[in-house]
Amino acid sequence: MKQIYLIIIAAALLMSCSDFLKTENLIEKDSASFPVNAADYYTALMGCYAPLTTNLYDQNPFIVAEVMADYRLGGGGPIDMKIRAINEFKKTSDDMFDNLWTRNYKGINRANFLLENETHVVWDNEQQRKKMVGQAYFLRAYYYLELCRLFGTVPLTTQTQAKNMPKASADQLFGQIASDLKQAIELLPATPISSIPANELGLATKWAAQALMGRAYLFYAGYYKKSEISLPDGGIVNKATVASWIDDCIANSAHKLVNDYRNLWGYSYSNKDYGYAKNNKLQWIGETGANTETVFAIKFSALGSNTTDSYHNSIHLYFGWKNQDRIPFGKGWGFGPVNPMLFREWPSNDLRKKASIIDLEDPDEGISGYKYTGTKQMQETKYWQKKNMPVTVYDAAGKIVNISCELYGRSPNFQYDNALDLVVIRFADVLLMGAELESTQAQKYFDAVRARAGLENIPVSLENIKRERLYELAFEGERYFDLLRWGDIEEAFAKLTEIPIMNEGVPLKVTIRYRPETKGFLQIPNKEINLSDGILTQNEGWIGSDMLYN
Amino acid sequence: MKLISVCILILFTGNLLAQTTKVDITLKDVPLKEFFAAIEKKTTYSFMLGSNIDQTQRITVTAKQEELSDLLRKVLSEKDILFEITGKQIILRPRNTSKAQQSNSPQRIKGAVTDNRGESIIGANVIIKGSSTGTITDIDGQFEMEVSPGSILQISYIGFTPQEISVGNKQNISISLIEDSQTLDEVVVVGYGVQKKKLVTGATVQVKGDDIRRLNTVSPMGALQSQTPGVNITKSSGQPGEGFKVSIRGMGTTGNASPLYIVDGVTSDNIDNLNPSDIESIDVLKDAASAAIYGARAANGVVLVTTKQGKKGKASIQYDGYTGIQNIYKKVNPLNASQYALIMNEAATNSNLPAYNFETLVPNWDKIQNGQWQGTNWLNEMSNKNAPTQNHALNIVGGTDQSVYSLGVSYTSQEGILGKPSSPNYTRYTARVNTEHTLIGGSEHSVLKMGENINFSFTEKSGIAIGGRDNNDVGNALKTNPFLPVYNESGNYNYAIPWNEEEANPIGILDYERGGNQNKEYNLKGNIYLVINPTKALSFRSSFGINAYSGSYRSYIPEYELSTRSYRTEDLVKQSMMVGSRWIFENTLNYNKSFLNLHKINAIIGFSAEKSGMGESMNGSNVNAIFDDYEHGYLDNTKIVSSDKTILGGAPWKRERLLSFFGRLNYDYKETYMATLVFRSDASSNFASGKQWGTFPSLSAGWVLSNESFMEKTTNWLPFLKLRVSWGQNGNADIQPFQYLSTIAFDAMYFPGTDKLAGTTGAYSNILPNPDVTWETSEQTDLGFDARLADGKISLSFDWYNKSTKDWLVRAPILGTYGTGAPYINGGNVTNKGYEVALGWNHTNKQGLTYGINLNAAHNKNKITRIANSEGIIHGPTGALSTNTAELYRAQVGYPIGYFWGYKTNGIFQNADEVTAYTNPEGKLIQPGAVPGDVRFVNTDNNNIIDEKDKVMIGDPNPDYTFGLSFNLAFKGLDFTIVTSGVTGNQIATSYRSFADRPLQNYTTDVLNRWHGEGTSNKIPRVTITSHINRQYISDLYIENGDYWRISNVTLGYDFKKLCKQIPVQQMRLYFSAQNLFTYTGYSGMDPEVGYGYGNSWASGIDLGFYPTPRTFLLGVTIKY
Repeated sequence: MKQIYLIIIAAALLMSCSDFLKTENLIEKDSASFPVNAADYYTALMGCYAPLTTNLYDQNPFIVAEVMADYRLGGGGPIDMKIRAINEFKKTSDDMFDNLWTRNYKGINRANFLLENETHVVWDNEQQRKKMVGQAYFLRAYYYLELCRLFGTVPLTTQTQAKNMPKASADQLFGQIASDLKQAIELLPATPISSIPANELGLATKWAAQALMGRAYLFYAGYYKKSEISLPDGGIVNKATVASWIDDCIANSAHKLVNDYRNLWGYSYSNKDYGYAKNNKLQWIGETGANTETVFAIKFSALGSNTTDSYHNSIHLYFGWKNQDRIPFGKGWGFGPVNPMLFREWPSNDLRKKASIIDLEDPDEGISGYKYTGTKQMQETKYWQKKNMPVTVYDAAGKIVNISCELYGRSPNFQYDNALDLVVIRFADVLLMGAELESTQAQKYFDAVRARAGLENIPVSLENIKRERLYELAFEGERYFDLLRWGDIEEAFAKLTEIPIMNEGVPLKVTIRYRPETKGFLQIPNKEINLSDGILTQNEGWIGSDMLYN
Repeated sequence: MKLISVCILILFTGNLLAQTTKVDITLKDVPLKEFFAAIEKKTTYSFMLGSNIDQTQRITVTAKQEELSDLLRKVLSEKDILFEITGKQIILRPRNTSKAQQSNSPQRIKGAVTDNRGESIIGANVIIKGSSTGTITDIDGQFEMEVSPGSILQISYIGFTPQEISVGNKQNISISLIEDSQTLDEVVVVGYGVQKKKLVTGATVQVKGDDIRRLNTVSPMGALQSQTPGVNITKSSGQPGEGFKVSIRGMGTTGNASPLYIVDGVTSDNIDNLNPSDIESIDVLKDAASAAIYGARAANGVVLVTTKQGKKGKASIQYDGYTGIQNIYKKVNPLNASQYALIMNEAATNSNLPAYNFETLVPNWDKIQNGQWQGTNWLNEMSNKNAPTQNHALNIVGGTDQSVYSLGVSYTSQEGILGKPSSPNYTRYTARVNTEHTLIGGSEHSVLKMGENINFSFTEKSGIAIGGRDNNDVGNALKTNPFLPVYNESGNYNYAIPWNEEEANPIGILDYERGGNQNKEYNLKGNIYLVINPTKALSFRSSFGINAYSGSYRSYIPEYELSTRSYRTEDLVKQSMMVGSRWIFENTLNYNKSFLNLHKINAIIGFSAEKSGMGESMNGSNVNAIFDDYEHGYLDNTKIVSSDKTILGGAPWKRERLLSFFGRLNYDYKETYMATLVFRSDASSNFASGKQWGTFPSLSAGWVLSNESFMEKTTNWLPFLKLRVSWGQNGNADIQPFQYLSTIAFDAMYFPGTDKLAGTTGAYSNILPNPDVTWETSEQTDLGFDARLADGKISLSFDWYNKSTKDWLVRAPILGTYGTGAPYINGGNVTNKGYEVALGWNHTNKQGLTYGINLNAAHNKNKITRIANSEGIIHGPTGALSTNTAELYRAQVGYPIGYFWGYKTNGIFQNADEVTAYTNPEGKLIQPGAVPGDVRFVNTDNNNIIDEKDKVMIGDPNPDYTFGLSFNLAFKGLDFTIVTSGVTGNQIATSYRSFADRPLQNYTTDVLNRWHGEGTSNKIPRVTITSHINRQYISDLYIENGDYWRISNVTLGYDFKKLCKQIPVQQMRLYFSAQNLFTYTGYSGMDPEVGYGYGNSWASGIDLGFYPTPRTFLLGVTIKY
């Protein structure tokens, strides 16, 4: 007995230490074992798209850009000081845009990971490689463009390896963006959208890359007053090359304007009980491929829950009506009431006016039951945008529910119900970019947009394009950047005085001042400045405490 | 229950057998010695014989199923030997005393042996010195024997110091034995062995099982609180079954700072599932030198638990039971309806809003106005008055020379004082079997021993939501408006009222959300061991331990609707289960030798391998059950599986392996100069190969000054004085494995395509890999002394220490531009410096009055010295007190871990002049927007704005001092104990309402002292409805001192055996006990002992509606047989 035991012990002692100490990770892969094949690469590509759906308002570039634009107020409830601070170019804390910053760098890191692994993966065929790698380039450019439009110049990295870096120059940043988009345009297949299978809806296409190139070029050329982008490899992208890509997109993508502008928006689904939709016989174009106008959209799902917070479209939630479930719009956090001035100045013969803004007192809207006071709504103006809102219908039991309850069988929970996609590049935008880039087809593009809105032809000119972009693309996230790149921002904000509002039912007037010292860019999270040990510097206009929102 | 009854059955059968033992034996012409050996082997009895019995006499005997006593009579009478059976001992003496003794005319004497409390000791050995003649005491502690005049008796009993007494001519002798705990000859457990306390060179503290048991706490940790200086034990919640936050000598890391628990050699996560009655002793290894033998995991100290071991002798049976009631000790008072209405209207006015039209918003407003109805006090509504608690424990200890055993079973249950109609409930069943058998060898020298310790526990627990800000039922009770009635006319839970349509009925929430949940845990831990002693000096021990755990959780939440925010349109069923184990295999070789009686060496070398995380867990939840109650709340009853509502999970446990080699050398010279050398080398699978091994050395020395000749003069008043010094290093490897790789997470999702109910999994690398990550090391120096003064009545121990934890395993924030998660780095240092004093005065006077006063106190100062990022900060979470509030606590270089960070305030602006007078040195207004009634924030940086740069340390949740003071008295069966404990120098951050975002939440009555006009308050600002920096800024307005002194236990007991001798037991003590009788504190909350830290283990002292410790009154009984 004793001997046997001793033998066991001896054996144990001799047991190879390294074998014993070896453990295997059973629920995670690591960079040594992933990605190995095209399927892995696709999974990692989905991981690269995922940051697009991040949801808190202060980390959502769309909400931030919308609320900074001249046509909207902060709104929200009494506690939502941050959104009103954003509206007034002020800060509530030194780290208020922390998540907005990191969201984009997360996307960049994941894109870098994909691009570094391009050669480590066993591809089934060359088309597959090109298609996926092209999307990775697109996404890296997309995230960098968001950073550059919101924060100005930022650190630039194309590697996953961690490195503490100072800001790159605008030339370097836009050089990289243009180079990535050029790669994407070259790699992605020229498949017309009518031939793209339904299960690929939402993935970046060659057309989306061309459109994003237009957006990037116009911002760089306008804001930095440069006519061409120098690529890191020595090439050059100028107005003509960008215009030719836009022309290609318009000519060959099969993207086209849908017939009725109003059918683009969710409320057109609520056409049984929503007077405006019913009377105009609106039919929602949907999200299953019929919408030929969507060039690139952030895809959301009906899987939202408190544990899967980023799966639903919380932009709609934030822009929803505070504490009120009505037809056609439902409950949300009451952000971004519309500045009455926009409604006032918008010509009434433009059908896009009523298609974009709801005037709560307009009998044609047929809204009933909306309460102005006692709803904890700040900066209420009686005007709300209609494009990105929680859309509601009556369910079989006569209860107001979000359309996703009817479309996808969700059980109602207003915080997680919103499932509509967010269109970030619409074909009308592409047409207007083509016009602004002075394409040979400029007038034709411009006329097409106006004609769809039921308006007569007018000559294409920058002045006209500016107004057209405002009316065509209102509340679609581009207004603020348009003002910035056209250099019109100070002029626009000079008009924002004494806007009549109601704070929880109490009438007040608010004046919003643009702070030119910020050059239009946000505060970099101070934590990043601290962590970089001074290598990263704060944006102008954000050092000190004068801009603290109280 | 079944298991328990089986055990009891076995035990009673054992006792019956002992009384009517039948023996089969056939021996032919053998020495008497062999007959004795054979009987001992066949029965549980052992022989005790005097030297004057000739064991070489040969006998022949044949017996079949013969009664043992008959057999003995038959055999021994032939040889002129008398025998007596006492307990499990057969005492032999010759019929005719020897000539020598005859001349001295032996006489029959009687005696009684008691302990220092005057309680009889059963089974004490009484031996005539220089012979092996002796007896043992009977059930009343009495003995009777024949001795020659002038003989000396040696009386001994396990756990007591042996005593010698000269018989003289006395006929009646009474001996009072002194418990070992009061002597320096007691041994303490030091890890892989024991050591004489007087030779210990490190800083350890031992608490005896009795001192734990007699405090009648549910968890043993609760009883340690007042008895272990330097061990900071704080309840993480007062809800039954919740654990403790334990740190030894200060918080040593922002990672897992709890000590390593070892129960009978098996690593455990905590000891809450042990019944206090099962514990023989708890030894806490505080300094690095003591803990170094556990190297890799000892950085935060080691708690060694020894469960009750078997003892040679007749079975000793002890039953402990108590039953009691618990109530809230102190309530905080939310505003009643009219007070609340007053404050709300004032807040609206202050925010330039119109006054509320309560009539349209509040039902029964007329009744509130005319005083007929005070509104709902939600805290009272959820109070579970006289919540019962009870405990029953049965312990049996006994054994023979060959085998000893210790068995225990227990049942404990406790209900929570808050949470009606879903009051928390905790039930624990335990069973323990410890035995040890000498397989080869006798009582003098056992060559081969084998034994095992097995502890089993089963706990059931149901609870309410505690601790946090939003999901906290106690907090809900304090913040829900009093306008809302509990029930509506039809007797159902009242739906939210128009006043606040979002705010749900907290009683309804308790009923629906917490009404059906139960957590079950099964834990089996134990070891089996083998000890081989080839020679007396050498001992080899091999132990294989296992800790097996399984648990399940199930809950059911019905559909309900209580407010616009609190509803469920589908019922929810959740189930989860986990099962797994860890094993530890340890082998040690011990060499124990004394040279020339001067030099003593005790050396141990060992090897240990541990494998943990061998287990799996699974969980699932789904909606729409076909039954709508908790009884049927199983996933099988939810028939429809859907991608968005059905959640399934299953994962392996975190696997870890640890391989260790260690050694210790104890040396002493004449028990006066001592030195100990320890080293341990560990390898952990949590690190990359090449970074796996860590070596942890330690060195300590002691000097018993009182043994020196130059100290002879002081022996009278200073019989013992020992100086100690130690230094050592310990490690900590407690991190997630695979940090050295860039792991890929698969928890992202994107939604290409047209199916809105399906997502596509996305993957990404979720951490920056850190191949260099390795041990965190704690280095500690300790200086101390132990002394006994005044004839040994006073004991004094003192320790000073300096502990520095280096290379913490932290996830320090990294740049956002890295685009991925922060890895664990060895990125921080913290020092803990302090001292500990233990002072005791314990004495039993000649009349048998025993009294004692024990005081212990510890001071600790915690300071972070390095965090390896350029900020030097690890941030705490934001929003701890209210949505949108800044971080409340952080870890920062130069400050204690988890200190509270915010604005200092300097009163309230009483009038407009004070606002304009508040300027910086340049004359600029500092708070130009302030109005009278606003808070004057301290402008620490002298610029003209209050901003983050003005924030300073406004509090520290780590106490400066912790102390325990106890007093005990015993006389003739009566005993009285008071135990108290407390802390000073710590702060608590308190907020019961979410000031920044929920203006309609209720206040506590403190707000009645708010500023509402010049001179009304300089402390509490005006109330507002809109969010205001007065409350949105984290400031010292939220901070209170957390000092307290708690009378945690007062017990009065009486042993009725003293009154009524005919009771057939050794002791029958009835006692009455009060726990948490009084708490002296300036803290305004319900309980100043707040271990809650809002999400981080290194933070504490945050009261957002903390579940308080109850005040308990118990009636109990201890019966010893």
